[in-house]
Amino acid sequence: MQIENTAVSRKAVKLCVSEKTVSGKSARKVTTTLRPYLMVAPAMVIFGLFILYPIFYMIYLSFFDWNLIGEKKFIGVKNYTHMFADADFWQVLGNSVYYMVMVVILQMALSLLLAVYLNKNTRINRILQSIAFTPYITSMVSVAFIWMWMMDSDYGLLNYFLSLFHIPAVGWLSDPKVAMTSLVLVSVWKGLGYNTIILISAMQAVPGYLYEAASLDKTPRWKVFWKITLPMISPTAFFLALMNIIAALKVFETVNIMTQGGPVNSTNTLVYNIYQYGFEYFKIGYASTLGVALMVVIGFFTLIYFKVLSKRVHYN
Amino acid sequence: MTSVQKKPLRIKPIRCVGTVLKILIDLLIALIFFIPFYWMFITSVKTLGQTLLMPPSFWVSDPQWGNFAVVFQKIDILGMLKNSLIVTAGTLFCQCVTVIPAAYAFARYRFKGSKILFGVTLATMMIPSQLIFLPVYLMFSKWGMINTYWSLILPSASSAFAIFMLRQTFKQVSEELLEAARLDKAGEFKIITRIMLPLARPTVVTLTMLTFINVWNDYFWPLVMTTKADVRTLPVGIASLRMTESGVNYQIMMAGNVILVIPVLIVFFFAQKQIIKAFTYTGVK
Amino acid sequence: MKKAMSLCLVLAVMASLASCGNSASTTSSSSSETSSAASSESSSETAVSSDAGNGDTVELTYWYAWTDKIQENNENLVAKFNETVGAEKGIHVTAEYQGSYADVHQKLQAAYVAGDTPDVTVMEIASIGPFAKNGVIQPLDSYIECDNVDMSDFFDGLMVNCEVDGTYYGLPYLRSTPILYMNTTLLEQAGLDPAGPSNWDELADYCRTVKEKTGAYGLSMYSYIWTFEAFMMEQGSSVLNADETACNIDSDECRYVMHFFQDLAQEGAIRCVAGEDSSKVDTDYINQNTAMWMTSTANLTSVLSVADENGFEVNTCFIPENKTYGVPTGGCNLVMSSIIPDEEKEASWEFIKWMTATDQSAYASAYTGYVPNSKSAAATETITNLWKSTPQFKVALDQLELYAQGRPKTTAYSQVQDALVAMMDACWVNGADVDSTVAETAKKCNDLLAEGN
Repeated sequence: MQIENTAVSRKAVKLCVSEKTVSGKSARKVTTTLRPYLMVAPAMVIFGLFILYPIFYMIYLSFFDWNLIGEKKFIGVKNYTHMFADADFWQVLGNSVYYMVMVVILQMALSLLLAVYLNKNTRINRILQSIAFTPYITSMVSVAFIWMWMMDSDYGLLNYFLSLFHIPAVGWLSDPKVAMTSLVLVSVWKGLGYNTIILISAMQAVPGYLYEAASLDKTPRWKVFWKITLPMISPTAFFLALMNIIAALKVFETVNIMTQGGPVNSTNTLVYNIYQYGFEYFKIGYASTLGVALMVVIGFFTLIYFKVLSKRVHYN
Repeated sequence: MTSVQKKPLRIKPIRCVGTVLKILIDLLIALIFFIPFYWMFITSVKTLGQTLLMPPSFWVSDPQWGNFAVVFQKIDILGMLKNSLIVTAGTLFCQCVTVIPAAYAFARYRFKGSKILFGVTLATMMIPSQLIFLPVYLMFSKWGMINTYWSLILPSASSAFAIFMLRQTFKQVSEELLEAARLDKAGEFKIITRIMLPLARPTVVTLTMLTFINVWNDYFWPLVMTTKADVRTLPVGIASLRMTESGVNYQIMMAGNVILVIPVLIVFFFAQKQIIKAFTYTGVK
Repeated sequence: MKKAMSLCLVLAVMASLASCGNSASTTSSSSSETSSAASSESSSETAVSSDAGNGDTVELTYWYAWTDKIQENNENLVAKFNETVGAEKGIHVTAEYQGSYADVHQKLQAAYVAGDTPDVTVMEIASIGPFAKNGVIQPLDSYIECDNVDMSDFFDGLMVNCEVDGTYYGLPYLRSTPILYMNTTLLEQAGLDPAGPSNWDELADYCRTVKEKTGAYGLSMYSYIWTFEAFMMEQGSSVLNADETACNIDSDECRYVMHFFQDLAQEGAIRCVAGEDSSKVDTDYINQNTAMWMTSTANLTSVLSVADENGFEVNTCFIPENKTYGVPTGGCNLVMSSIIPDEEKEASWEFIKWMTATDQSAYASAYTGYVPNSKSAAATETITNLWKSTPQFKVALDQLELYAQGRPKTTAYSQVQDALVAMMDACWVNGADVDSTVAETAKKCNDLLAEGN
């Protein structure tokens, strides 16, 4: 789709530009050629200064030992060797990957279920969609606060509900085996409405004739879903999964507000770890090295995404 | 009540069980998303003693509105509200200046390097602010710009996503229309403001809404870029209620939280269709 | 309509951006005018020179931490300084609240990089090392010599964390030690002596008896580095070795400490909560859910008022002895930035000197519960009267005079600290195996310390 569009408009633009250059004088020609550059310049300056340059700066800093106030000391790849040898790093990476995998699986499974359930365009379903969407537009600070309170091990609502069923209290945020999963739940709760609505809109975009054929065959409903709906919405689902992956990899708010990486480092994630090294331990060089590691992880998933995407375009 | 239930039961038991089940599931879904918010509201008007009751009470007969006064006392809500407004408005303004011309140029001009520049633009979408906050922080502190609104606005003064979306919309405007305008000796500026933007209005509204919500809710960036209370935005201010020396006061935290959530909920209540549509737009590519 | 609105918006943004850049200079000049009017200098001269921003009144910024009583104390003292010595010498101080100690340190670091530090700031005592070594804060020796400050008047236990490599970088300001707080109403209910346990065996007995007789926990505590330092000192050991190059964690002393509290926690006699759950200890004592808890002397005033509101009595005593008594000191010193003009340094020194002097220290101590920092302050009427009315205040000072030691000063300690808190969380809260956890933590700490040196 996109590619087609570009081709068509490119022709049009070519036409219009060439017309102009023929009729214009040389001074005007210069301004005309310059004009698009001037127009994109502000945006490019912002990107260059605040996204691209910082990346190179970060890579540069990762080869130094620097505490922000003293002299920068070049130490080669020492930060990297240290990182790979550090058990903490692997734990943090493991935490991040666990969080990511859990969020993506739960989020996709639950939102798919909910999307199927709320797919029919009725009034009650629309209301439920709106309700489910509410957490998504509220600030992560609010959501973290609310759940921190609900997950309080002594006076929290969740443990109260459990006690109604005679289930012993859970240390939602204080048990290192549970804490990360609690953060996953919060994230899924916040994003469920968004993911559901996107999936619903994808389902409703599936052309009706595909279903008509199936209904003539009296195909069972689960089979219709499996054979028609799912393949048709898979590009959207795939896109959502990638968005969830990247969002999960940059998790910071819930960690900072609800657990501060604890208990026993069990909820320390890559971004929070960078924050700790940068702002608490003042090891700027090492924090940058962790940043490079995060960049590699994010880059890896983005690359996979584009690989699969290009394949899909190819088959189409 | 029972007779009503029984009657259809006799006729079509399966369908009735189905309906009841559907209602129960609907209710469950609604409660899962509703209870946490309700719990926030009700806690915000409790006394400290009431928050520590087990079993907890779901209703308060003597609401403690004073909790909100305590929040106003503890942090400068109005000042932070002002900061939030300035940063949000400033970001929106800067994005207008950078995004619209860039989107127009990418949509309507063919120039050397346009492909590369557009590719760079798309690539920046994949780089979250959580990745580069440290070097950006160092840059700003070198320039002595930590604790200014600039450090909050400039890094998001442009948006790759907005450029991408707006470019798609601008492309759909027919060339004849533009030719007609050019014959009338309309300059590029006029073409953008008189033809392009009005035609792209739904996209512009959507993008504005998205930026507004994102900047308004943002906690991470203002947290790392500022150290002084007088430039911090509302989410950071509210989050600081967590740090008290005299024990946890969940009723105060929740009162602050209500202040933070209410404006968004009100806006959402009145504009839910548009907002949901806006976000759906981000998901379908 | 829409255009007008967006124009307004733009103007508003621009105006506010402009004002944010200027606000600092305008406020400082206006306040210097008011204070110079109060000073005794000839008014015509100061009016002219204050416009140039270099008047007879020196403007100082002072950063402090914590709210409530501690905040009031800071604001009161600064106001008093501005009225008295400040007015006399042409110094005006503006106090700014910054959050916790960690916040102060982070902001100071950022401010230093940006070249815009406050003149004077409080500094948590364990952080003085890194800041001094990196040249962020000013050595005070020459000022001390010049003014002949009697350093021997300050309590010895407080001075360890005021100097780095034999040079003074700060003067003791709001200093404290951890003490054991007791809800004597609960203790008496359990038939225990409200004077409190005097050694660790008694502490364990107390905890078990309280749990048995009242149902409340004997002790509620969180993984707190400061009390852990005290526990190690009481085994006759310390967290780090003398030259701070390695830790003493992989030792019988440490394992004893970890086992001691783990056993009590697993019996249910005490409650241990994670480091980030520190507020649970407060909730526990407020609800009378625990009979004992350990925290800074600085909280004494607020604890007493909470106890009063909730109808129970509070007593304090030393952290019980095991092989010996011992506690680290805590709290903050006053330090001065190294990158401010000399004139401001002179003025800052006057301010620091005044804030830590006898009367002010006595005032702060009585107002908050921090210990008086000098022998002369402890001898003032304010303090002796206070001890008569509320003898709980005296415990901290006695403990300080007899047993207080310094805290580690090495740069790596901020990370070591986190590792130790994780160890406490693992053993006490989550029941991890003590021996292996201690061994792992010790290795990690030693690596960090080796790397830092």
